[in-house]
Amino acid sequence: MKTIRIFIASSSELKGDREEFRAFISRENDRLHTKGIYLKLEQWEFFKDSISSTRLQDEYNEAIRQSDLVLCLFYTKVGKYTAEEFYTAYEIFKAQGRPRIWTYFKNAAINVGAITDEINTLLEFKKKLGELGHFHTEYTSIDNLINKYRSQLDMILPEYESDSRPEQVETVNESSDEKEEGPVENSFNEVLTKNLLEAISTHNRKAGDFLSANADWAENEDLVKTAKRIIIGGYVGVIGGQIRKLMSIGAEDYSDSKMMRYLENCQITAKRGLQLICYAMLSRLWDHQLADKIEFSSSQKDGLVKFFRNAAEEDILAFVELLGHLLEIYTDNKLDFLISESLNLLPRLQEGGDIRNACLKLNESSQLLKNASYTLEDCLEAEKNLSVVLESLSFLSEYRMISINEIDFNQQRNDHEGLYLHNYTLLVGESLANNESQSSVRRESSPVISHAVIIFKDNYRNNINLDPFIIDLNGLKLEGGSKICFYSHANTYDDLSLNYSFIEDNSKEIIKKSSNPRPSDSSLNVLNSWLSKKENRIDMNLDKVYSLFFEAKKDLTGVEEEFAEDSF
Amino acid sequence: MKKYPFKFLDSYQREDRNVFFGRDEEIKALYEMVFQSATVLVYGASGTGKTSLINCGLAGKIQRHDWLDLMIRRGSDINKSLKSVLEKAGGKVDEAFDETKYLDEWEIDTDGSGQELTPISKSIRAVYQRNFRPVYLIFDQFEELFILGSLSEQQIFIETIQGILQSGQPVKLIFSIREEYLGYLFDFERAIPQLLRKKLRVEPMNLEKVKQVIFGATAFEGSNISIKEGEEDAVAEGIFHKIKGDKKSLTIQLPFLQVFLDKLYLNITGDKKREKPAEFTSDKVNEMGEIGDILSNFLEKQVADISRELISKYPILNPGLIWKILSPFATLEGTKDPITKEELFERLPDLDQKLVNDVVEAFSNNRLLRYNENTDTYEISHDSLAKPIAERRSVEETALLEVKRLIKSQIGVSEEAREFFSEKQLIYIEPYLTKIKLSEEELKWIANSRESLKKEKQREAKQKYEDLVKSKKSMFLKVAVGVFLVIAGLFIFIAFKAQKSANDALEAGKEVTIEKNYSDELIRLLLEGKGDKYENLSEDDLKGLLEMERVAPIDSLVEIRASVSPSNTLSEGKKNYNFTFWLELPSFRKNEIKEVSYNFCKGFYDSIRTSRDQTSSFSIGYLGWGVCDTIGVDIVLENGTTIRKKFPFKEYISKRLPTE
Repeated sequence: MKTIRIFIASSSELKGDREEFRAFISRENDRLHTKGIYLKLEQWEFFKDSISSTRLQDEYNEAIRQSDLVLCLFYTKVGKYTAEEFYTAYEIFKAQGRPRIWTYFKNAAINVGAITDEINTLLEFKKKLGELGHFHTEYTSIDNLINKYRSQLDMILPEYESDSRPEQVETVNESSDEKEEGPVENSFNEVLTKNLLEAISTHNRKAGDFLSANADWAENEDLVKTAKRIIIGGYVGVIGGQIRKLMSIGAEDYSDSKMMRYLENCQITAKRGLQLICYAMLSRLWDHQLADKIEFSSSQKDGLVKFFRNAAEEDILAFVELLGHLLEIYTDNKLDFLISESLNLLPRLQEGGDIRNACLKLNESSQLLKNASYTLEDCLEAEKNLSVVLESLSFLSEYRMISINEIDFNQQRNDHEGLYLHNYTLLVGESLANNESQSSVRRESSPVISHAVIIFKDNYRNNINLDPFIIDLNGLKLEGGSKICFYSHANTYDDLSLNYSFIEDNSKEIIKKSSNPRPSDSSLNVLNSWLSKKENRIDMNLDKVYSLFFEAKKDLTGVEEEFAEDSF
Repeated sequence: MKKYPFKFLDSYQREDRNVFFGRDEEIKALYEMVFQSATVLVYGASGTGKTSLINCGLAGKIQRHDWLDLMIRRGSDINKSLKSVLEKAGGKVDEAFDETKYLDEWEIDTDGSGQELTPISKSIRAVYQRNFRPVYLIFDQFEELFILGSLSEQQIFIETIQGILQSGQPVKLIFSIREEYLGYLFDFERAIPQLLRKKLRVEPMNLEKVKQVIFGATAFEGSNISIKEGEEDAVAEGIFHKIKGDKKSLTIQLPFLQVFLDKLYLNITGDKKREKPAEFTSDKVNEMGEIGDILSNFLEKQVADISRELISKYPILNPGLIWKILSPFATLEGTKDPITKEELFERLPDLDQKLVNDVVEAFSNNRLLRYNENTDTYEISHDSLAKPIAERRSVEETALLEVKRLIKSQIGVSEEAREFFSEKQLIYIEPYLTKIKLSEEELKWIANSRESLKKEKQREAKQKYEDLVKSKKSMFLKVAVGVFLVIAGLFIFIAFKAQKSANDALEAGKEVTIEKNYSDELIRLLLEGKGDKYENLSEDDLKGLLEMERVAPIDSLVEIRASVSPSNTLSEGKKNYNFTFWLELPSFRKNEIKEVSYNFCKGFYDSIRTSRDQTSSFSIGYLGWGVCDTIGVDIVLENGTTIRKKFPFKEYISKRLPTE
């Protein structure tokens, strides 16, 4: 049986309402016991009015701290103790993210003659609540209150129901009681926000302007939110999206699930950052290799082969290694690279380097997650390590990523030159969830490679095409919106299908060679009729990704497409 | 502790995702769609589980930090509800900080081509900024906007949605609508073309899905229900066929399944706490017998239980009364109609508010009624329960609702395009006007319609009179002309109240009134085609006749009349008619009658109906198909005496029933 403690506080004039409320809770218990829930009402009014000693106050604070839900009722005045009860509860809530507090103001007719100066306590208190940013609700009668509270209970009780289910993913684990002993300060995101804002301020005008105009931003809750938005929007698309997740988890109330997801996402964010640079370098290296073949050292070649042959998603350290190899190749061969800032990262990735160390530690979180034995400190540690990685990639806030969809050519009679209309989706962290407003058109005088995710700095034409390492599955499938997927691994020892990770939820997307090959160009009629069908064009797009990957593999490693040997 | 896996009539929530079965394909499709479009439409028949699919299926697939769902129901106005839901979620807009100064060329894309955000979009931004979760605005039961909302409410809403879509805020819109109302989206789609681009139909449960639900719910670890080994398919198929009955359909309704499974469990264990383990077997399923209308039976039982529970407090309470209290919660078509307590009290003016309140509370406690805090309304927990409520309505209640709708639909049109109520409509709505509360605008429009009809009738009368002039003798003409001139405010006998001004005129002076009535009466007789017998009378004879009508005992003058006209509605499968009764007597004698009671036979909802309205000739009306052999009519005179008459209604009306 799960016990939910409800603490109710009110001034003496609402004694009647409180009694009715007690009766309601008792009726609810009749219903809820089948769900394994018991609502325990804590009412302190019987001796609260005579409270004087510290001992009692402590005892009382403890009762609130132990409560899950606090309900404060007010009418024409706010008694000193009732207000204290509220502030105590509010302080505890701020510290440990619990209990949930509801304040209800009775809005019923009162006898004008009965109004005294005490009404000022009510007005004062309401004002104070407003300043605290706490929402309050009004109720007209006890029925109205019960109805409102019943709806609230209906909304939150499923959480408690689920807690008693062993198979629930987000179940609070056994040891959580110990952790809840002391108040937990919600300092999630603090380090990340401060460090990243400063790091990108030299690359991003918005962040720079914001910092110089608001030196004291950290003191103002609204400005902290704006700072977070600037960071989310500042970092190049896919990374901004990941940071958004961290900001969102950080804003949650304290829970085991929060810590777990925070740790997971710190890891993933760092990995995606490294992956993005690696994939941009691989892609550009392939261009170089096609233009002018260079020889790799054996360790460099091994690194590349390892990447192309991996049959499971690589961890963050593998990408540290890969990035090291790629940077070496670029440096050794004096190759140009659009994201030239990354060329300075090499020493920091080597043994003893700060990025390497940060990634090492982030990688260790896997074990914590596996054993479900993480603490708040682990989360804050992960946040610091992530901020080292992201600070080192702060130059990415000067870059943009877009997903090019179709290119339309528009030329009408007597036009000397036609217009190329590039349909693209701008990938912005904050708006990843929205896509309608991002689908845009850009007029150009020449085409660009379609169905590709590209990264560029200021000049749209000077870009790196990330296909086939980063793809937009919705674009390839000729759907609206964008579904950005990072290459994960190939089923090298099986059917050679390619596995991608959808960055929103890390779910797996598989691209196989289709059984519907594009007809050859020799028979134009056959080809035209084939192309006229949307399903065929989708197959063509996905097949192209598939073949591009193996072409890149061959050009960069010299290894041909391998099929698993049947060993039986 | 083992868990009972069924949710009964509750919709499934995010937390129930481990016991939500049978919808995997739909969840996957819906999840894909939210990444393909900012608007997604979910449609399907009532009871297919659209809300559960979104709240549990979709929500369960998205991580908590990527999902901030705000459910919006229309309430009294969808635009107000949206605003209020956003405000409650923290969408209070702080104007103090101007972020626009940090925008650059590329960010214009994300902020909607440089246009200033609408207040709602700013509010969404504020909600998002509270916790950085993408906002999902879920418009549940979206059909309510079209069934209950006005055109201007719809227009404002369309503009709001356009603003949101252009805002570049991290927000998605999911609309859930019953499929029979898809056609209403025509205008909406024209304004927002992407609305129907991504749409998902939620199919009713076929056998395959029913199996998934039953197997899933019994197989998961921790379920207190199991199926006898080897009988899995037989049990699932047995349940499916029991619910389907002899209908030819390949699918069943989800609520039926839930209620059936609950009933099966209770039959096996008898444990109302639903804690004991139960084993479903083919035999147990077969023992369930024919279920018939499961939900109807279920609701009937709840009504009986509540009646028993409250009878000691309210001795007059019986199931019939409870059904009457539930009636306003269902629309004419048997869908949910959310209403506030105040509206409920208004709809049930004869009932003690405390009693109504306690019944509502009892239904809220067992979750058959739900309270919506945002709109301060109560509604029946599931559409499938609204249907049996609508079916239990008396003919009179149904007629009341029809009248209400008729008036609402007419007034819903903007005044320039609005038509007056026709004579037939006015006759139909008249008997119910005292029983419904109308807005000032509605009352005014009814009054205007009467005025317009009166003028039209006067025109007709004049025309007939002119025709008469051409064809009748000059003696008669002289009388008629005189009479006609007196009756400037002529009011043709039709079964509805005269305008207030006519009443005022009546009160202005008895003599004047009676003189006027003389004239009225004569013209009335003439125009009704009964004037022939007066045509050849001399002026003196005419006066004599009128004198006789003036002084004869009233019971020798009174005749009972009835009329019948067809209605488009059905009840209990039979075609309905509008029946009207009134007294026929010289209009200048009407003021001697205080009230007239019509006594109906057994089977009528209100067996005695009384009219005190002399301007309508003490008419009453009803909608239905039932006819009594005879109707006792008690005419109570102002002097206290009562004249009792028997009216052979069946015989009278059988000659007058309209033929198809």
